[in-house]
Amino acid sequence: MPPDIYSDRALFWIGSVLYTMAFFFALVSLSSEKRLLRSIFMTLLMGGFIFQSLGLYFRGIEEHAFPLTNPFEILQVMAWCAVGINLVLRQVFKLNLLNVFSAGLSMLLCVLSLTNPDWDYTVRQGVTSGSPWVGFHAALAIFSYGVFGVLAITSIMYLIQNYGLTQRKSGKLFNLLPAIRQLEDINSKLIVFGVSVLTVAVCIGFLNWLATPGTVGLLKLLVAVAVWAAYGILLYLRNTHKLIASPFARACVILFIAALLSLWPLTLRSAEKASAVTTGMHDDAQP
Amino acid sequence: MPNPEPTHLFLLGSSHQTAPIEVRESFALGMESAQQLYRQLKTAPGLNECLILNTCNRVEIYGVAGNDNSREALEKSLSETDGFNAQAFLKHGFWLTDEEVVRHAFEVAAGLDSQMLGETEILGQVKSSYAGAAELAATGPILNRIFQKSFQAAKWARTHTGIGRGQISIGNVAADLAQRVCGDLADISVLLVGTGEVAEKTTQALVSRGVKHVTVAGRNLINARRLADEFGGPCISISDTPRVLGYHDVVICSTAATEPILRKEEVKPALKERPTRPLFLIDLALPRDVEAGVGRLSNVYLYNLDDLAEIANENLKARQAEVERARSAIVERAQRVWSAIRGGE
Repeated sequence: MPPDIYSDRALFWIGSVLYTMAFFFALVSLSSEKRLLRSIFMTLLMGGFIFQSLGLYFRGIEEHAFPLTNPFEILQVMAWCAVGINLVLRQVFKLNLLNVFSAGLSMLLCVLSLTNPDWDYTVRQGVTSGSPWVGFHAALAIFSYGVFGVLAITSIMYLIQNYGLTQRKSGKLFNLLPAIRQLEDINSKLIVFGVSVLTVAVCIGFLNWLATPGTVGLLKLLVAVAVWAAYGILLYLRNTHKLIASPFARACVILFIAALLSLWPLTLRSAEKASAVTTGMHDDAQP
Repeated sequence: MPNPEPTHLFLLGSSHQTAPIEVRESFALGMESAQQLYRQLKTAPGLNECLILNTCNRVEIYGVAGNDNSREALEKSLSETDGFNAQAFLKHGFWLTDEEVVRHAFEVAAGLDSQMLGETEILGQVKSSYAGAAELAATGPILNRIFQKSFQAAKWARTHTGIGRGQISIGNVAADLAQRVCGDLADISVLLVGTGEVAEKTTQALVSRGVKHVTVAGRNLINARRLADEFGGPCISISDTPRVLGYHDVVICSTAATEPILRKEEVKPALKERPTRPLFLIDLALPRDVEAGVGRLSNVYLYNLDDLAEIANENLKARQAEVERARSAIVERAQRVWSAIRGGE
């Protein structure tokens, strides 16, 4: 009897509701110019993170691997990474509102994944269930997407602060947002970190592909290499100071959206085949 | 247990609301005069409690008397105080009694009666005056209660209304913006071009928020040196400004030059030296010292006097919109305190 992977959806729902509550609580506090009650916000955010972690944990137990077998799980893991990374970064870089924005991103990703039940299809033999290296590759790749998600968040924060300064806007939101220089600094670190993680993931994937050619389809290969190359070019342009400040921030946001959308064709192909051959999103090479 | 003696609470004062600056200068109380006045008030017949609030914008004497002849006794004490222009003070003064006094004390502590609406410095001054009076045993149960409650009311108003929202002086607006551009001001370098008073005050506002490195550029090197010494930094000739621009994060210009001293062509090379670090230019000069086109360069934030004044005015309007809300809550609190005092009699 196949494992019932739908039983843990309640945990994901609770996590998403808590992220949503955290985000809207922060939004109302900011728009009403009242003091953000940090304890309430953090309780909601941490609550969401804990429930989501439990959901992923039970999924992992059922699948005997890190749950990355369908688009639903990928989006959930990405949201989980974004909040987790932010919780660490918040302590390291002392960036105001980073958690608020991360709650917003995670809310979006979670709602997107939960409102599309078709994306949570059952996979008898997922990509991570074969070789542990493939599982490691997939986990690293999604983690790097989480880092790029955070980069997109800090870039949005940069663009808002930049808009406020260039349009002569003042207000609580602008005063609470981190400074331009802080955001520049963290963006430069995040792009290096994200590209490094993705490079390791791509290298592992490439070695696996060499060992077992034909297990990965051309489309997936092209998309993976395109995303990696795009972020690599972005890093190169940043380091040679050819793309800095607002243009760099805009590019980070656009590229992250493109990276998310790049999952879409793979998802569709996988979904079409899921009912027939019960494979995950990485199966487009299969007949 | 009811107090058998009736309480006459009064306030004799003069402030920026009633006296122009040249008059206020004439009755500013020095430390010695304030001490002398306290001694006289403590021996004044029928005066049970007193407190002198003495700031650059106001001299206010709060008192509790056992009879209603307190005003004459107080005016007599004032006229006998050395170095105090009692005549000017009384001419430009105001007299409040009972609940009005409580209300006024609450409004003063909350910054609602300040020249710079909603400012926070006054609360510290009121607290300090109260501590001084309490130390001299000049206050008693009534003034203790009123002032302690006024501190609570001020805190409430600051927390629950927007009377302290935003900065309303050019210097502080610029310092706020510098923090939005640069973050922690402790590790930035400021270049002050020109020695104008507004620029000096703006630099002082930045220094008060942690700026440690200030370079002064001036045509008159003596003036520049004097100002640089004040901020503990080096001074340079104004002609060297473009050359050192790249080493500074905030540049404040306020020269009397008739032509811009910073043009796009001069700023661009400086930006190449610091491609990822934003540059914040504050142009306080009229005519302007920085060419408008400089503001369109990437990673450059250019603000002139009008921009800063507009933000300050917006903040002031936002504060004024909150004043009535704060005032009505404070009046309610003052009424409650006064009723409690009356009930205790």
